[in-house]
Amino acid sequence: MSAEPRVALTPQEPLSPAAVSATSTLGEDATSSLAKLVQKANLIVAEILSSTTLTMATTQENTTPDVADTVMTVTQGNIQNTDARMTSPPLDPVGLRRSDRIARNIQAKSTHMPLPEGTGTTKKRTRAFKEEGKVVDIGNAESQVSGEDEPTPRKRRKWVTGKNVVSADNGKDSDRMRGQDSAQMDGQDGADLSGEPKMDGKNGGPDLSGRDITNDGADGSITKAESVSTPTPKRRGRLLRKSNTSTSTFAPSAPPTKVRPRTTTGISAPPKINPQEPLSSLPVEILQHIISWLPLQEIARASLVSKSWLGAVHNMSVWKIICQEAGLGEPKKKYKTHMALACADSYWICTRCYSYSNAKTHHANLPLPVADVDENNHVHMLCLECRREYYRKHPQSLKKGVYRQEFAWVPRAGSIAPNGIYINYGLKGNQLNGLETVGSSSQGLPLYDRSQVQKCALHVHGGWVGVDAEATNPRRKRASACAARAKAAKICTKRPSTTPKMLERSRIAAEKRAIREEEQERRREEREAELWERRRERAQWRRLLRWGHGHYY
Amino acid sequence: MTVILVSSDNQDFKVDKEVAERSILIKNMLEDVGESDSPIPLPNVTAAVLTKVIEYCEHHRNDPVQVPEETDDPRKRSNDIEEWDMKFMQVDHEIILAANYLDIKPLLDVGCKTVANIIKGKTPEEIRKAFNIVNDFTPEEEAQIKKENEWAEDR
Repeated sequence: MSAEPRVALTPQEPLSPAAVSATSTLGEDATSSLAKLVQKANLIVAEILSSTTLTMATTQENTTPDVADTVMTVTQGNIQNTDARMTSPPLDPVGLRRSDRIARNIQAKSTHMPLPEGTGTTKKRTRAFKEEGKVVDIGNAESQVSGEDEPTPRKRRKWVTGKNVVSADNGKDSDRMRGQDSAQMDGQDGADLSGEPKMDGKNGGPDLSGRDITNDGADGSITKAESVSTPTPKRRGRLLRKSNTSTSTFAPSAPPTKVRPRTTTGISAPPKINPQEPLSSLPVEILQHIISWLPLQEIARASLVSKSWLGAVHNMSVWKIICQEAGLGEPKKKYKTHMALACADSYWICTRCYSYSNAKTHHANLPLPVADVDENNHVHMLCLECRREYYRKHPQSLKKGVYRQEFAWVPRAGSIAPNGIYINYGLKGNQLNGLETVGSSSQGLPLYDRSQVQKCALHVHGGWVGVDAEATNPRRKRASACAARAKAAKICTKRPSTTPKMLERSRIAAEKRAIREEEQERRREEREAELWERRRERAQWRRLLRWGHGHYY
Repeated sequence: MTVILVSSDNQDFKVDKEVAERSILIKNMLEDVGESDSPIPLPNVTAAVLTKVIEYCEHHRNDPVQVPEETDDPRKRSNDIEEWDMKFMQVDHEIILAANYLDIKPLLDVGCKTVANIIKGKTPEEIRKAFNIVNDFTPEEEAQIKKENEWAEDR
């Protein structure tokens, strides 16, 4: 007991699931569940005492306390160190949970043995739990099974005790505690851990399956507790065992189901099969196979689950493929693995085709989020090509054109001029080549059909995501580029006069001009005629004057 | 022509050869052994699982045998599971192990896809909870890994 605090839940000293489950159930409502536990311990002990079949060669006298006594002490609520024979220093309150102590005390009492001195590891202690469960099963299956040795009740109890001592003991004390039967027990324990199906040859056939069945009842509590604090190394052995034993539950030989109710509190339930826990018993390749069906970022996220998953994720071939396809080269100094390299550049990597697109100016080239309808609206980051492909399958609806105030002069609803196209849809230059103009504005700009422009933009930029990314690209020089576009459009398109209104206007203008010219002509003729009239008059007068002048002279 | 398969708990299963050859392992075994009536022992598969596997193979006996394309396309999608397979896979992960052992690729794929669909869209905590996995990272390690692939978090 001296090292008991260290037993508290540290990763180096793995708690077995049974112990953890016991502690967790105790931790919540210690007093009430304690009473239950005591009852259970009572039951178990009574069963052990009444059983008459098994015998063991050696006994440890010091390990047989009065059961009733111990149970009594527990029920009195003397929780911490009730066992008089436990010569342990006061418990370290920091390291050990109270519930853990309770569980251990009860366990020790129910198996009427002192708690192991020294650093009794929880692993071994919980093995004691397991043995307890086994003992119960044996008690039930006794009628069918006769052990190799001829048992007496007393000896059977001793046997159990010895077993528990061995299993609960740490290495330091084990030599003293182990008798010749402890070697046997060790063998059994080893077989137990390694999950050999025939490990129960010693105890009798139905035992194994019986125990497995008993485990099912306490399933939920155990697994919950495990997820709290059971570290992996212990876990692995347990899982191995689990996979084997779980198969044995399918065995046609039906196990005695009598034992089920007594395991419901989870005390005597050994670590067990959890049907909800398929993954950790699978080999790494299958785990990788499973993970590889996930989208990319979920693969990366899966590495956070546990160390084994991290290893599996790191070793996946996907990362290498990404590095190859994206042209990232080999991992160098900074990023040591393919995964790190791929993750570092993941912003520019399409999650579907793994192509690398680092677009400084054309934002539609970047991988952009697309909620994939095919995959439960899961969001992928798709590059331009993948987006085009996706939107070819799932065409997006066009938007209703929203006129900005500055384009209100566009004469025809549903048409748009090049600068508007550039601002709103990010199309420019020869991207407009395929479109046909539907007219020209009064400013001489060509006008395009807005729905056509939208279709074109959706295709070119890969959906509205791309269009928005391009149209809101902060990097492009909007004002000057816009002006340049308008200028270029003005130069390259001469003013056409094809609209009927224009024709009418020009016809009227021509008529007016003709009328005016006629008028001018007429006036000029009049003026000339008048001029000639005056000249004639003047000449007449001059003739008269000359005649008269001569008279004067 | 029937083949006798023996599960790990010594139960015999009489199966059509065509069905049994869905399993590449058995197929290779039969090719190696040639024509013989000796039962094939399958020590890694229990009777219950073998029943399910045979059920799967019976259901898919008319499917074209997939050409083993080793292109290993990484861009796999997990959403194309047949409905029958979906129901079928409600059962157990034992089947995945058995499919892996018996080398039945479509069954293995279906099983893995099913599990992947469970994982999909879950945070690491949820995955741990769902599969009862213990988080054995220290907080520092976890923060480090999170930092490495934070891009996976915020999407």
